Amino acid sequence: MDPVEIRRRNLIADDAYPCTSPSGLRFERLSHHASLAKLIGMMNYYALRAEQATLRVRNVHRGIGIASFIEVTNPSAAFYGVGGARISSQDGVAVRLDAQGSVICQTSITEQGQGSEALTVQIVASVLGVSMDRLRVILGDTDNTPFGGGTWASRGAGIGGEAALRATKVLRKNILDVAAAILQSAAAELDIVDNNVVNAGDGAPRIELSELARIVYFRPDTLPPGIQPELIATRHFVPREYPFAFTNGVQASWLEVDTDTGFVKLLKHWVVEDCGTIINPQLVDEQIRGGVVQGLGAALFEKCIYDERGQLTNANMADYLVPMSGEMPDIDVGHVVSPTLESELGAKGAGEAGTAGATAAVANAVNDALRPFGATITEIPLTPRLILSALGRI
Amino acid sequence: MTDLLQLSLVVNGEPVDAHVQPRLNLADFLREHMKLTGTHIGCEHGVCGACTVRVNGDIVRACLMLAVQTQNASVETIEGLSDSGEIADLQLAFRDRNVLQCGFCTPGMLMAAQDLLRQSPAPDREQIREHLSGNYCRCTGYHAIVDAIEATARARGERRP
Amino acid sequence: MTSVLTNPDMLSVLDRPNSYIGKTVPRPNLDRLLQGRGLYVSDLEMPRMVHVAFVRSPHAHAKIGKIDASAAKRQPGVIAVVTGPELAAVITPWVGVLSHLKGLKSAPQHALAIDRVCWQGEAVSVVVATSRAAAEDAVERIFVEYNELEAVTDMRTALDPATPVIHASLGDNLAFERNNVAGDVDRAFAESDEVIEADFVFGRHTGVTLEPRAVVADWNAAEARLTIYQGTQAPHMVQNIAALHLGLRESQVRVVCKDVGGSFGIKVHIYADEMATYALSKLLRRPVKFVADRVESFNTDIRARDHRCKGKIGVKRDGTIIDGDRTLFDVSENERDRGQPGRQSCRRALYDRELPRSRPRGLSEQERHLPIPCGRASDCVLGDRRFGRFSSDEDRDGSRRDSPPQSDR
Repeated sequence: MDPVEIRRRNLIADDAYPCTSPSGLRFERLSHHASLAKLIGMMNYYALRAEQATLRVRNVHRGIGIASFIEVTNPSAAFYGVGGARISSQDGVAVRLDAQGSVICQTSITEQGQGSEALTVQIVASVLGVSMDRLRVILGDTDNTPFGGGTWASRGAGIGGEAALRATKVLRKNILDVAAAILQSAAAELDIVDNNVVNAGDGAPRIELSELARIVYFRPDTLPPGIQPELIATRHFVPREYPFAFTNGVQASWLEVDTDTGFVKLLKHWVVEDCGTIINPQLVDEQIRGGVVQGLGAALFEKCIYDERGQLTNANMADYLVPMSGEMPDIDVGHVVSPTLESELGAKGAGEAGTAGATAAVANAVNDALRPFGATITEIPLTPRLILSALGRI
Repeated sequence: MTDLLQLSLVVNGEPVDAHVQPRLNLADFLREHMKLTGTHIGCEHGVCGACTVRVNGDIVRACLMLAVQTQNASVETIEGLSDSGEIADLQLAFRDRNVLQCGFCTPGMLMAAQDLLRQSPAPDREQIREHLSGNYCRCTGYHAIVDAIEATARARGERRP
Repeated sequence: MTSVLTNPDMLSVLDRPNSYIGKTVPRPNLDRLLQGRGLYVSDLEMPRMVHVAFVRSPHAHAKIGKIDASAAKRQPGVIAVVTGPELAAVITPWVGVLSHLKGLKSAPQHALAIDRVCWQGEAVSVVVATSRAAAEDAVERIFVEYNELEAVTDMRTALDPATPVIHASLGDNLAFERNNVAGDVDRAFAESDEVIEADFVFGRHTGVTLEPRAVVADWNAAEARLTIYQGTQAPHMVQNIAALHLGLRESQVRVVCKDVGGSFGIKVHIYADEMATYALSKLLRRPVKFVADRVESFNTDIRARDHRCKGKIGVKRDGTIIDGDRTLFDVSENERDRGQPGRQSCRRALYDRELPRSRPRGLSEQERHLPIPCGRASDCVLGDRRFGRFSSDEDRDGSRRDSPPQSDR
């Protein structure tokens, strides 16, 4: 039976949610079938099968491997807190409008290059109605950010992003309340667009944010009586409904096995991933690509080799093999979008999805390539020695 | 304790005189003596490429060279290439295509990329991957890096008379 | 641009005008990284800062005898040589468990090993010097008497009665076990048209962040405040734990993360050598810098995977999977997350299908290797590999494959 077909018969139906697994895990909404269908289209699966068959006749052994997966993201306290670990599962963001109209965001999530600063800027700017260049983000400093968990287990966007969203909504309301007082209007008739307070109805600019800030900070004597402007707001967020926001995806690997040397050449890789609302498509795709290559490394190259005395025998980069650019394929990424309803942002995590299915896709592809030889390998990394052993050549 | 040796070289166009231990490698010299910390140390055994610099026009592993080997040489680091504007288009392409995530491999990648484009103005993707095979990146998976270098090569080709 | 909004508050944030959400825009503040002007911990310098190099055990399991540092202390640039008992006066040991994983066991860990080392690479002493090079020179002149003990390195035999128990106080080498049974598994197998079994082996690997772990700990005695510069993913956690074990109030500890050269879960855990660095700064009342070199990083960073899994699935002729049984062995030691891979994959086994009958079982064992908490996608043990077995008629004989013991294991 074709691997795609067997998956179609077994994957949970896309309309079966919410549902609970036999082990008690709750899934809000996954999209296994839609993702699989998209993948098959992206990779031109049946054309590759035909190509595989043609090449097999010429003793060129290529394989296709498919791997569908789920990944846990946005963990609540169910991950660690409930066990007494001193790592927080909630995060907080404080946003404020400063005197010259700049917007300062302090967030408890952290940045290691995935784009925590970028997602914060994009969310705050969008919710508030300002241009990104007005924003400054402070993170990674326990003295100067709200108390939070940080960035791990794919939670920065889903949890930190939602905190940023909520805090900014409050700041926006506070600004419009002041604007209403200054402009003798009603807050409901105003909006903030492009760094200006505008009429919600016709979009006409009424007062620039920097001007509003100047009045608040330097000329509060000109404000109507009884007003105490508050141009800073803090909100925290922690998932309460679902202990984890499960995401899903499916990956495919197209590769060639040299049956004389046991070497594997990765020809192409595809991922379809569903992480809910996507804040910055390029950043999400790049997280996935990076994760995929870590999975490809695990599939083919990486292994800590210990001897029987517990000595690590390959503790250097010449002997522990990491993926370098020459051995890696291009990676096409597509998405299905099933936002979580737990937050207004609807974002789930995406940082680990690439790693989750890549290794399995490669392992399945190698086994698929070796099918004519009756060889099956259930060990990673799939070294040339393992492959040649499976082929009976050594 | 070994005697210090006198060393004279040019770093990013600036003449430098120093007294160093013979065993001091070029990467440590640049980082600790010159305070040019853009040259990163990832392995100290010549595999990862994070320490890539230019010596007399060729890219080298600064961790595998002794500082004293650069006597009278011209050394260029990422700071120098950056300030001269030589790689401005590459840096812009890297930024727009999100070629860097943590940024630790980036100086070395830029050095290697510029080295490639000086030798091969129109490399294909396989040639790009081959040339960068000495620069380890754990964040990006390399695809974006290839995209940005390919795009820069094309743009340079269009700008050439 | 004009906006025609009747009630902006009612619109989802995703529909706001000029919204950046869903847009590819370049990340802000990349210029400094593109110019080589980032600030990674390894770049940090502070007045009176000193550097450390650790004396690490070459043995996976040994009793620590005499430590002779007399020659090392006379080396130029050496400020101090410190051992486990001395540091224990400054920083208390910790135990990494999760109380909701019933039965999860772990032994206390010290910043520097006391009496016994439990893994190859565990630090037994530390040199503090004016440069890393000077510290390393001194490390070579420290002589440690080790009484080598038997190492337990094979998870397949770790629970055998004849195998030594690593932490006597814990009773055996089983760190954690979890069983999940749903439905009548045996009957379902009997009803299957085919039953297929396979043994899966997952190699151990590690994160290999391009920037190795690095920390600068700065105890300012006049302010009675500790500032930790570290590329951690969870600064509040580090603040919390550092304060707890150094006898400080939370507000006396500040953790600062600037640029981080990759993490992937490696830098979200508590490491003994980093705790030692915090303690040394407090002991010596000056900034102390620890940067792991690459070999050190390989030897001491946390690991991922290293699982053996027996899988068994019952299938109907039409391809539907009706049953599953899994036993997962994984190797874990000493850290909070151990047990998580076993537990998560136990719970998430056979996620794809609404299997009414399943029996996944996860076992985490103690072994003489490094701590293995979680890395990237740590719980995705099996992924989807089992499906490769069912894809053709040739597989129907349900051949069982024992993974041969690897000589390079």
